[in-house]
Amino acid sequence: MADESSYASIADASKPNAGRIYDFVLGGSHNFEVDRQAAQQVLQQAPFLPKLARLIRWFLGEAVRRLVADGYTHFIDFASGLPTIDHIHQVSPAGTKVLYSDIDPVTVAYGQEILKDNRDARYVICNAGKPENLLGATVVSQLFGNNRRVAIGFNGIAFFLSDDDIGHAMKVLYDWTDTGSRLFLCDSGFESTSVSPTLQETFNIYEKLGQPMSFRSLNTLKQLIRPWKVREPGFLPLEEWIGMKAVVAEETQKADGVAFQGAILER
Amino acid sequence: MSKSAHLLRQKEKKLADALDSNLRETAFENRYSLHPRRLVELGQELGKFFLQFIENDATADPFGLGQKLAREGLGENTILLLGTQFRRFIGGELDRDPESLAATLDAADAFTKALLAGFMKAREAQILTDQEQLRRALSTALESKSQELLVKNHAINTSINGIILADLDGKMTWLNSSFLQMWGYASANEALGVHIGDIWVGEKARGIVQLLPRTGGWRGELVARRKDGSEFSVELSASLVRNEEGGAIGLMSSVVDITERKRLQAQILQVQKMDALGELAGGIAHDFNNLLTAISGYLQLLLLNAPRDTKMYQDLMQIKAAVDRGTGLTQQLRFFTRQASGTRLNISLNEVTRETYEIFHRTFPPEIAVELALSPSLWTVEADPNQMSQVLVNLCVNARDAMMQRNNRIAGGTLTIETTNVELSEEQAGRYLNARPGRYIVLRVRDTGIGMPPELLEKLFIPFVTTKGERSGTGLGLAVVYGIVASHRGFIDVHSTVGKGSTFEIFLPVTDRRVEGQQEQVVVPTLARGRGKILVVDDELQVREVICRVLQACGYAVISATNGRDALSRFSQGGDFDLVILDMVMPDMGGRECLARLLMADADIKVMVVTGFTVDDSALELLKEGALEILEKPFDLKILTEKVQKLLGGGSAC
Repeated sequence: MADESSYASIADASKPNAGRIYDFVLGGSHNFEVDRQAAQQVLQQAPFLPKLARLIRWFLGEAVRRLVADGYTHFIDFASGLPTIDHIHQVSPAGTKVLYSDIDPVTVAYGQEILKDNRDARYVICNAGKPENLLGATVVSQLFGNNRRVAIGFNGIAFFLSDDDIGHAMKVLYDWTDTGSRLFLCDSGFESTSVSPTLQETFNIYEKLGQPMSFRSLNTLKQLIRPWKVREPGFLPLEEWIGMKAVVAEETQKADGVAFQGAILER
Repeated sequence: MSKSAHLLRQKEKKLADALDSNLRETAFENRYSLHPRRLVELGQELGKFFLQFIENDATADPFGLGQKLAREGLGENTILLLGTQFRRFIGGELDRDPESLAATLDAADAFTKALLAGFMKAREAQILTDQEQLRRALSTALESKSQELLVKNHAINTSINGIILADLDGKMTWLNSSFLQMWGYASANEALGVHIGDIWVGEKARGIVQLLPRTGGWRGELVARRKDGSEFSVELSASLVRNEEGGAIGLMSSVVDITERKRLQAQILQVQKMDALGELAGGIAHDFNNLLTAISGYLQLLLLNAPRDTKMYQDLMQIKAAVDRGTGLTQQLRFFTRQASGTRLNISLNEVTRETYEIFHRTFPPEIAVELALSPSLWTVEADPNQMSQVLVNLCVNARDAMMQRNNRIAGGTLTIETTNVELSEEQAGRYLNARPGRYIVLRVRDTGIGMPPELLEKLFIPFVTTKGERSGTGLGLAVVYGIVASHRGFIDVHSTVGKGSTFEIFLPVTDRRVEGQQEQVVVPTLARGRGKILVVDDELQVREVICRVLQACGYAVISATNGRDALSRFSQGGDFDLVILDMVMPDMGGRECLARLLMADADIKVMVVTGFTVDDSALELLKEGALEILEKPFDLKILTEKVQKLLGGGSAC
């Protein structure tokens, strides 16, 4: 659940908010001048950020399309953001059950507003690092019944969680799901110590906004996701998942050569 | 279809590829919601649509298409790039036909213009929708926040802790209702602006306020001063209030009234102290009883043989009077230590009060008015009426003395004795250490005498503590009251104000049984004689000897033993005893074990137990284990011989 401070902050238009800055970076309109000014600071240090944000979101669309093609009809999504165009319930066929969640209460309020006429989708508040809060909720049994063969979205959130939180979340989700369930996620794939001072400055800005970031190597991430198994083709840069390798190559070089990695896991 | 349109239609695939290439190049210019996989389809759809427009297809609506593309998430730059691409495509394909080229370029420009217009209109609407969505969500969040703040505000305002907010100068800026209640203010306005140091006794609080910026917080006990000047004890938690940057902006204090807690702590200490004293006094009373038993026994033997008209007989009677006073004193000590047994009956305390009142009120000076206020429907209690009478007499005598002590002359006043029913709730019972929720009767003795200072209240029930001077009292009066009430599973509450008087409230638990009639007093016969062989077992030489001599004088054959082991030894030597008189507490082997072994050796042996302690439940257990009689020390020899005679049957009086 979001704590009181985040709740107060997101509803406070006088101070920049990490969630609304992210929205601006993605090209959204759910932000204020104070957020845009702060975003400009971030973009000076990390001009590739808008592209990275889009790659992360597009990876979600890609993974969902593949999972739908494989017959998955029940989705749980963490750190969902706004469920506007190209989110799970729009990509998947009618009747697919989707449970969205986010730690930000205002985003949840948006989401509930958008989904209010959709019988098969719900939006609830939940900290992705503590999925047990969601899995134990009544809404899960209401929407999923006893079905535990599900597809789980854990996209674009790992770098906002500590190693312990990721390890915990993966274990809880593994224990709750049935064999054959899948989970897609992406993460930085590099450690924060390996980035340039310029990029480091970006992390510092986010930390000041109350949204510290945790970067880890791919090997560390692979340890944390156990006992989930990585499906073929394994961890790939996000642009490769969506067929944009050529377009992104030049940008990747500009961004210290860092590339986010995504994968689909299986229980 | 015109010739140029036909020519362009043949190059539709080429246009779609070019558009797809453009869309991919500007993929990141689009909204995040437009997935790159969609771009391929979008390029084809756009090319087809553009060519329809060039062919004058009335169904082609570039304005509507622009709106659709905006909703898909295409960016402005992408739209402009598409316009350029249309021109480039036409220019490339129609460059050999200038007339057609110009007309088609005009058509393409019209298409792009309408496309852009539709796009911009949809974007405006989209932005407005987004902003409205944002406004609605923020409004919802603020509403929730407002509700949350309302709940928190209500919680703080209705907290049972007193909450004080003050500025950094220490002036109070906000107070909750518990604070107002604790300090006796009618409204916050009376206290706002008052320095927080002014609501405490002493200067300690001011020091705490001054040190807070350095210490950050303080927790401890203080004495608070109410608006009317009265004082009460509190536990205070004080801390700095900081803003988001960590700067101090005020002080916050949370206060708990601990008057009740301190009262209970004092009660616990008092009970522990009284228990320790009880044990000490009980031990003394036990030993003293043994001594008195021996003295009294020998004395009675001497009196039996002394001629009544001699000086020696008179002297012995003086000794007897002193022994009787000593016996009375130990009896009172035993009341205090709850060792005194008694007859528990279901009684109405009103009757006891009236009877006692009849006895003592005539002894009061006329300056003291005695008033009775007895509840007509008083519940019954299981109590010893004599002990209850003793309680009432002791309290009334103290009350009388408290009203007679002003400047060594009779000051007078009013003594009120009340009885009433009360039902203590869980919360009310919690105010008293030994109280349980339930029904009680209260005996209230109130005087208008000199009252008692707090330091005297603390040691009120301690034996031999007296304010009456050496000649006036033993200092056991209230100790006896305490012991009797405690042995009746009751408790005492005392209120006293110096110069105004004192009130003693005796709480006794209620029984549901009906009032029983007074038991008839048994007339004790004179020293009883008989025949038989008796084994007397007691470690106290004098007690042992006096029992032996009395029994021998009454016609019995008596053999003595010094402890349980000695008794078993004599018993096994074939003494053929008719009765064993057995002390309980002895070294080596006590009475209980000896009783068991005697009965194992001879199941028909008659055993009478004598004890220096009270005949309580554990002593009564001995009857179940085979003893036929129990006698408390110090005992009257007449009673001893009567019991022996009763056990052995027959006989006559001495």
